[in-house]
Amino acid sequence: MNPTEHTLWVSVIIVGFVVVVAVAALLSLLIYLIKRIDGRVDTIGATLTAAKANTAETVLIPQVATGVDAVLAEGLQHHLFLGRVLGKVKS
Amino acid sequence: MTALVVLTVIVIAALIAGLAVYLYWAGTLLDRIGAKLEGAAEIVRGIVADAELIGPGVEHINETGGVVAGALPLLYGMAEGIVAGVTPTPPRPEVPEVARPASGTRRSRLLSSVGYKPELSRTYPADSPPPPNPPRRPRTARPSCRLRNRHGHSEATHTCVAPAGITVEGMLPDISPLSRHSLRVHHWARAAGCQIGCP
Repeated sequence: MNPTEHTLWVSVIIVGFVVVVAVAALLSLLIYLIKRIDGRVDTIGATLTAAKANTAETVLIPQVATGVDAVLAEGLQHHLFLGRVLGKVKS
Repeated sequence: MTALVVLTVIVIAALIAGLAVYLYWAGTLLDRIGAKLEGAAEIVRGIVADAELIGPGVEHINETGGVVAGALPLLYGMAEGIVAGVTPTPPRPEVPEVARPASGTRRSRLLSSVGYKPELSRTYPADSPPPPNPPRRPRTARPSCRLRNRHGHSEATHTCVAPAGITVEGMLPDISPLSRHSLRVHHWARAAGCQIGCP
């Protein structure tokens, strides 16, 4: 092996170490960012759970609508009753 | 030569090992994140399912409530008509009554201010005696009264009887607690011959 080849090989080995260190640094940064994403996802999950608890009571809205319909039906009965009584009273 | 080969192998092995470790670590974290996001997506679907009930339900309630609110005045009017029809009303007189002020009539002081007294000018028939005077309210003698000096303190308990038999005690209750008036009555009683002293 001539000296030029030896020098090139040593240089490649040094560059290889630098690449290994750079890859490790970049992957460490990637891990850090992934951990941040993990924390944010936890926060989003907690918020969605609270929102789910809040909207779980919306099942009562159709029941309330049914109750209001019942009130309207009863009001119509009152209207009919008052109409009959008013006609008799005025006569 | 051997050292270079060993170093080369070490570099390649370190690169492969580092990549493997980091990629496994990142893969684990991303898998966990994926599971969490899947759970969040499920929660979001539940929220959407719950929210889908809000719009039609609220619209239904609003519509029905509007109908109820619009019908209530009609019911009120009919109820008032029933009350007005059931309540008995007295028949209206043929000749309407003279309108009088709600505050009542007030006695006029114009005649008394000029000295005119209607009870003195009343005329009676010649053959009828004048009506007797209304009985006077008998003065009741009080056993004692309390005179006060100018400072308002009680001096003593006095019993004062005038010579004419008119008791002064009838006036004493009218004495105000003011000392000047009390002393004036006191002097008047003394001048009228009242016997003032402790009984």
